[in-house]
Amino acid sequence: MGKYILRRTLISIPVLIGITLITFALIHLAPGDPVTGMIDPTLGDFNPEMVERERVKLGLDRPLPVQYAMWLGRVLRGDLGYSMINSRPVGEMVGERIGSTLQLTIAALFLSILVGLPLGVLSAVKQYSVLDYLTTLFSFAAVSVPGFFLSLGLIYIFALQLKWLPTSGMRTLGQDPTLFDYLKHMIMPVTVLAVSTIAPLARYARSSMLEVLSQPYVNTARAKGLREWAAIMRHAFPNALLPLVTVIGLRLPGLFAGSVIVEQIFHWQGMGTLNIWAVMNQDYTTLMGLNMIAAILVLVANQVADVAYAMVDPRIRYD
Amino acid sequence: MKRLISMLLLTAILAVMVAGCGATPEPQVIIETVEVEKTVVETVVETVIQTVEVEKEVPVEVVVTPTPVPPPIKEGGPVFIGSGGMTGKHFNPIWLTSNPQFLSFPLILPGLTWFDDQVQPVLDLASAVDINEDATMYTFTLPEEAVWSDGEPVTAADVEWTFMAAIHPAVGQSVWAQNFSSIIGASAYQAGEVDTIEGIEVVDDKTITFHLSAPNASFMYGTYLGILPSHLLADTPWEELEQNPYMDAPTVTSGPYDFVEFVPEQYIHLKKKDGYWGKQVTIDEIYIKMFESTATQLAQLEAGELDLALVPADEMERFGFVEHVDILEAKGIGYYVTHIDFRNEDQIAMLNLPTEEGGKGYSIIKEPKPYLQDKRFRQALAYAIDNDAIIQVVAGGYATPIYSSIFGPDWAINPDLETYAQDVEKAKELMGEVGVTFDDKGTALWDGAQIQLVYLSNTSEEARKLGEVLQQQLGDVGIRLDIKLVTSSAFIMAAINGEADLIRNAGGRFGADPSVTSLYYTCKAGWSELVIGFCNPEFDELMAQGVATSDPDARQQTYWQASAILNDELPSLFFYTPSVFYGVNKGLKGLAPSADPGYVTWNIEDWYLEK
Amino acid sequence: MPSDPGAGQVVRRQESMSRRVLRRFSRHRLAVVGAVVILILALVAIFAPVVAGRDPYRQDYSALKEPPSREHILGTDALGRDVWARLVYATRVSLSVGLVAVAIYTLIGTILGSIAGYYGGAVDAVIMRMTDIVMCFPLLIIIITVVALVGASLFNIMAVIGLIAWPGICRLVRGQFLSLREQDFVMAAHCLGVPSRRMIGSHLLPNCVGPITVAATFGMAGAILTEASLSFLGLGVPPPEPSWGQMLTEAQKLSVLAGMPWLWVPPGVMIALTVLCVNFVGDGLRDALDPQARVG
Repeated sequence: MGKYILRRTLISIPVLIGITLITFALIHLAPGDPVTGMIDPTLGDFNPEMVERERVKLGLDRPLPVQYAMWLGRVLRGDLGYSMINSRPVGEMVGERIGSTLQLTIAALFLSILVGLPLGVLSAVKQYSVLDYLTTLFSFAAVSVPGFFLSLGLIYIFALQLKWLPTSGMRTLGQDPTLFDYLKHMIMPVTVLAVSTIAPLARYARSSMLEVLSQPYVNTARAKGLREWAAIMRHAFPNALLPLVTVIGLRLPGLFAGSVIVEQIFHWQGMGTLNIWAVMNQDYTTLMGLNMIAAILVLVANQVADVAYAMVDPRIRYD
Repeated sequence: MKRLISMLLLTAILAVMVAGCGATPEPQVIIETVEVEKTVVETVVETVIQTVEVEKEVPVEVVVTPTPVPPPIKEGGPVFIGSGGMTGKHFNPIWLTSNPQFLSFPLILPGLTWFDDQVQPVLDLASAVDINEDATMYTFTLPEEAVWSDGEPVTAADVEWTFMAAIHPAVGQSVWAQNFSSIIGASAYQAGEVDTIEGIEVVDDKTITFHLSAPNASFMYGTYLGILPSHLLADTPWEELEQNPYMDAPTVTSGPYDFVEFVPEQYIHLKKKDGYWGKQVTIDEIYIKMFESTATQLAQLEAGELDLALVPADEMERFGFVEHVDILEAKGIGYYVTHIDFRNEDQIAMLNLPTEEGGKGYSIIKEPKPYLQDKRFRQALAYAIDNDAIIQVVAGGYATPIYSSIFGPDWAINPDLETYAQDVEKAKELMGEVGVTFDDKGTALWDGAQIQLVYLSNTSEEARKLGEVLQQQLGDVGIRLDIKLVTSSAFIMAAINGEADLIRNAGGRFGADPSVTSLYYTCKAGWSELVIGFCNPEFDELMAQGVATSDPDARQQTYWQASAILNDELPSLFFYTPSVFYGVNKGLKGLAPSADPGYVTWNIEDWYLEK
Repeated sequence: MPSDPGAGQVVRRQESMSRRVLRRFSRHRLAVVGAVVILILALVAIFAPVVAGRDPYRQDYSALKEPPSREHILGTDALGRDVWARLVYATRVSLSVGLVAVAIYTLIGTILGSIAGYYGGAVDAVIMRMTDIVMCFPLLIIIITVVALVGASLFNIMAVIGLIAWPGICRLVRGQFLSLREQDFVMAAHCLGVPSRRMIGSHLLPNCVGPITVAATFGMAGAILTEASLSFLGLGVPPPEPSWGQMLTEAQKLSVLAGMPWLWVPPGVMIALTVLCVNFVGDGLRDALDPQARVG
């Protein structure tokens, strides 16, 4: 196992470089560049020299391979560079926002496990019962509504009509920040994010639980005289958790990317809004930095998921 | 396995705890006991036969419970203003590009002039201005008592330095190059040929004179640059100026407010200065919140979390029912048009030349459409379109139609312009004159193939709606219109590269003064040269005449003629000028609804809060 | 089961797989309902002009944002177009995006995943690194870039969703293969000299069909929702084609959300209904196909 992890880690490095190359190529393929986005044609006797000067300042006049090499060189020295649009250090922008995004996504993951897992297990145990149908209906209904729609609906009901919660934002300005204030602002966005995970989680939990429940050893446990619940919890349940590791693993990269739409609607300064802002404005340095960080996280998350899968299912060997 | 899960749980718990750190317990809801002067009727028995009731003021303890949402604005503020997102490299007047900056700079870094609610220039930092006979010399005087927040006096040297910085080859921005182009020596300085600007004369510590190379009655439309403290910045080498932290956090200010904080993409926080030498303001604290999504902004307005926000026309009816919000309307000064790209081959070839040879260095591949070159075809397009429908659908009916880009102030409106009221028959007739044929299904043909045009705009909803209306109306005269929606940053390049024939454009400050039009339609103007291909020497001549004189009658004649040219040649299809609506919390008084949302804070000293 | 008269023997034909699946599927009531609804929707999409009864593109400026009436049973939208007609025509867009995009990425994902899981070693490593690379690019960002490059069109959107979303299925299939590979029946087949293609095709894949269908059905739901989100950002199917997602973006405006429900409730209901039914069908298929499921 150790050798496997080492090999994976070593291979990750060229993969990472490959990813940055592809990202670099992709963002330069799009027409225009950060400077053209700032051109204002209302400026009479339009001055191409000033545009050119801005371009030179940003290093955009050099040939592409040179630009990439310069970026890579800086990154290897730990410098993610400065945004081409607002000159702030990329690392600083990311640092500000990653915490906010993680707040939402981890809480959402938490919530969805808390709700989805028991729902799924109960559905499996009482298959085809009313409870099963109801949870099926509910979890599917929840996942069928587009994120932005649910967000707006929640804002309308809870913030505008009932006035229980603030409409958006991360905290109430003009007041001292308190934990309770943060939590109040988190409730709606976290719910929207969690909703999209509850259904798949519940379904996977249910289906793997069903598989396990039909295994002979469960019957053996029952025959041994164990009460139904004990049989389920001690024998069936742990094995049913296997595919859950995959599901959670698939979700891990998304934890850091955040949801663009939820963050936009709830005015939450996170990675999602940063990403879309950088794309819309063609902010090359920020995009490269963001993508590299995202790539690293995905690679690590995938590796963790693979290892966890192998640990959890002793039948799997990687060699 | 269990360990993995518990580790995950632990990490998650830690993450949430870290995120919420700095926590204090929730503040309790306090019931206030307040001393209130209550009028009490006391019966006084006088020695005289009648008993007289006397009103006496008696202090009484009254229990006041805090009112529920929407909360009234607390005494003195803070006032929350909603705005769009900020663009612009730095939070500094030199890089003035977007609404949050327009709203905040006059409060912290005022310029010599600013704009009132009709978007006419008014004095701001300068206390007086003297203009000579032929509008070639402008002398501004600064108030004697003007000081920076660190105690240093505001001087004419500050003004000179700031103007130089705004067009310096290393840091200057095009908009100021445009605004200061009439100052003698400005272009030489901008090109890096000289070290000072000849036309800026520092007369004494508080007086500065601008010498212009040609008469310019509209010079004060361009002097709104926020003045910076040269005593802090002049020592920084020009190349390093952008890295100076002051460029993103202006800690030393000259306006009525202190700069507290600028949290990118979140808000700008300003606090009133104590003992300020200039404008006396009542609002203590201001937050300018920046929003990417209009829906969020409006929701906050409705919930009472914002005290001022722009309300789009189609949300108007809803806010009529929101109790605590007043709607203030202003006649707008922006235009709403689609430019027509009818550049010919020579013009495109010129643009593709490298800059050394006088071109712009682009690589535009476009087949010009010959029928667009003929103004009759463009007029036919105007006749095919029903402007009223567009106003209804796109602007919710809250707009005034326009027939050229010179539509304000009122004296500048030429009453004899062609309105191009919808007339499908006339449209087809004109098209026929140009050489278009129609088949029996009504399809418009050129060289045997259907005429296909492309509409370009950003991805906003009203832009899309406009495209769809045009699609139908042009379809009714047999033209096929395809809609191309691109992100804002790709928009300009797409327009320049000729990817479309009809390019939507909105905004601008046309209604403020007719001279604004010269930024768009003169031969060398950005839009004309790069996208439209409109060049009319007579028009250029008229626009130059317009700023050369201050005689109102002469100006009117000149601009009416220029307006008629635009109306006839149709470099753009002119639709309307939208009204501007502000949603204001009832407790916030003193606002003047500004024709351009950027200038709504211009009269901050008149704002006050009412309980 | 009819016996073969010619042979003179009694041959009890085993119930074929598809019949068994069908039988078990039909026990799952919700799944059956779901399948029927999807079928109806498919018919609506194909026969849209008949079902709609009127032109979904015609703008009528005298009838903007009108509530439902006899003339327009679901009212009119901001450009005076009949909402019912647009709803019907939009079925085409949403269903095609869902079906085509998911078909593309399920196909790619399954093929690559089975190869990776079966052969292991270097092949597995290469394919897994490919999934890593593709997973690093968030879908929305790629679509925005692609739209900027080649323009938005129904085809482009389907293709991009399909070409980006395959890693999920790939890893899922691979994971299944990895655990199945070590099971006895696989080893037995191996000893018997069953060729690789049959191994993958007839022995291993069928055992994965359960998770694949669940993933694919959720994927279809996701694709339909992605299209709605793209429309929200203004990058969806270009006008004048109607799509449910695009109709739903009207709800961003609080005045519509609160005061004009006929504009957004129908498309919202349609999206929810379609996605719901797809999910039910997937669930039913899973139950029906899983050989070990505890089905009555």
